[in-house]
Amino acid sequence: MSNIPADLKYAKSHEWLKITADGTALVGITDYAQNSLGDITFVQLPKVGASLKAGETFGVVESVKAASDVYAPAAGTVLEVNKALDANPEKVNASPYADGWMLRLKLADAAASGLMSADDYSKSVG
Amino acid sequence: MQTLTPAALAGIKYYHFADGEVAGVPCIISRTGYTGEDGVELYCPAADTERLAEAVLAAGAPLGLELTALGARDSLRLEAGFPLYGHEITDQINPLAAGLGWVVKLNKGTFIGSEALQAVKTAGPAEKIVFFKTGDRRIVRAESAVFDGAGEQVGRVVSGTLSPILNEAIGSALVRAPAVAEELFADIRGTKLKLQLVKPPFVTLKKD
Repeated sequence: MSNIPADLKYAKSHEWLKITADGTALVGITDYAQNSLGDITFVQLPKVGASLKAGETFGVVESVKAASDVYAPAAGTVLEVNKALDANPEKVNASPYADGWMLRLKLADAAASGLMSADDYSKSVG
Repeated sequence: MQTLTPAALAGIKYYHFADGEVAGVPCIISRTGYTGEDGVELYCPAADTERLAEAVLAAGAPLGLELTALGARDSLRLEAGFPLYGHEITDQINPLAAGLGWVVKLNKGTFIGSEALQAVKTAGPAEKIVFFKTGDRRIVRAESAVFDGAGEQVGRVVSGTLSPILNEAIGSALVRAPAVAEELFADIRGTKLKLQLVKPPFVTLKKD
């Protein structure tokens, strides 16, 4: 049973988005996604300042099994990327919702509408 | 393992075997394996397999023993530089190209393929298996193209994984023989990565 925090929003492609107190959003991949990928060996992230459309590929997560694209759950501009993942990509396995965050976005739509609730995501991953 | 058997395991030399009982199950205890690590392989009657496996797992649990599968085996055998059928060896890669000339005895009379292999030996293999590391954590996956400095494709990757011990990507490639002396590169999602050729093993096993 994977961990699906109630306070986050989710994309079908297994990314989560959290709107923080200052209005910016953190993005990462879900516990379900990290568990499916296995030991993560490399995370490739975009440059700060990159402008992302919703659903656009923003990087690659590699495990021993596969290299998988990751998709922007909402449109926005990249304010910050998690540099700690360069040296320690396994943080995504150990802590997908906290230390394993990937992007901080300035959202184009501050409400990031169109994403799933924890309940709906939970149903979608069975 | 020693706690499960009266057989003196240290007395079995590397790549030798002995008969003995392990957890009460009659076994061939073989100090072999395709991981490049020291240890034993056990051969037992099929009906006893589950009982033996449970006994080994129970004995190892306090030491942190866990089951692993082919991903772990693949990183271990690559670190040791062991060829694997379907990768470094196929029906399209001759043993001289694969670096297995040391087990091809051309002076012991004819055998199927001996003429063809003699011709390869005389001319030198057209392609060679090389092992590489990259200094980068991105895995250079099997079937990736290998290029020379001029950007011409000179081969392809046949094995690729991340070495957990070296903390970098390692692998092997089949390249045209003249290219072995040149700088080689692989392309990972648009980034050119230099392949640093290594004579295996990448990781040296310490045996008693």
